[in-house]
Amino acid sequence: MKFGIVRFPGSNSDLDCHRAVTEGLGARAEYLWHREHDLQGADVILLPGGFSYGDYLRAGAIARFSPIMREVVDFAERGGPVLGICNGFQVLCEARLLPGALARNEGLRFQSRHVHVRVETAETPFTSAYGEGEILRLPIANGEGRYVADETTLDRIEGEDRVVIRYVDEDGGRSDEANPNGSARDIAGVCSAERNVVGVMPHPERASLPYLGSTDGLGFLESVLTRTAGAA
Amino acid sequence: MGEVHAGRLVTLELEAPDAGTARERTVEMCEELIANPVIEDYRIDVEESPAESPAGAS
Repeated sequence: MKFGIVRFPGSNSDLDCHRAVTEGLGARAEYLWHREHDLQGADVILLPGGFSYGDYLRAGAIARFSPIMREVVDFAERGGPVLGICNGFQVLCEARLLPGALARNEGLRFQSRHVHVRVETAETPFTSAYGEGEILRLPIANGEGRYVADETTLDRIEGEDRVVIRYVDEDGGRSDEANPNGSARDIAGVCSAERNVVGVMPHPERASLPYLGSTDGLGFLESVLTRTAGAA
Repeated sequence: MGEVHAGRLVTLELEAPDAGTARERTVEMCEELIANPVIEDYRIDVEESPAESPAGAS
């Protein structure tokens, strides 16, 4: 079981992902340089957070043309599990592996703090270790984190149970105050129609070791470990 | 005061046989990279650049 962590110029949660996988989970992880065309036999692909290509033009817009993304798209289309975190989520939307887009936060401020999210579906390779309705405390760090899509798309992803996590307050209630960036319908993460591609704005890898103050996010990685082990 | 609009202006220079082709290629570039149609609108103005030296004359 091997995790491949893609490194773009400007990625900054690549080390956090590596530690979460190796220390938190005790699994193997390999960095995948964006100019390579080889996923090095990874069973799971992580697209970390950061500011790939300095977020020039739009967050994630240039990274999606990186050589490695061709392999990531192929891997995803073959059903391989792919998790995009923060900037990785933006890249997945730009690559059209996920619906919608991430726009500038409502209020225009960069948000760096802990939020609460509710697991809306356990039917993805990255959330199967959680119970539906489980509330997690995870950090966010984004300026372009406001999830947007047209109403038809929003209705469709809700109808297909593809909202993976939602911003809530600590008791699990939805409110404008609990939504840190004005995301449509409080959406903090979505999955693809085939459910193997997941994008989340909060950073589960930064809440995966006791010394980080929360291990609520480790379940994202545990989920895929259990799942892949079970399938093999 | 009325509405305020902030946007991005991208100036592209490209060679094309005519304005229609130039527009077509620009639409393609906008859809693929320059704009994200999910969150952005775009408008294209095509202008012929002046003083283009004829092929082979330089």
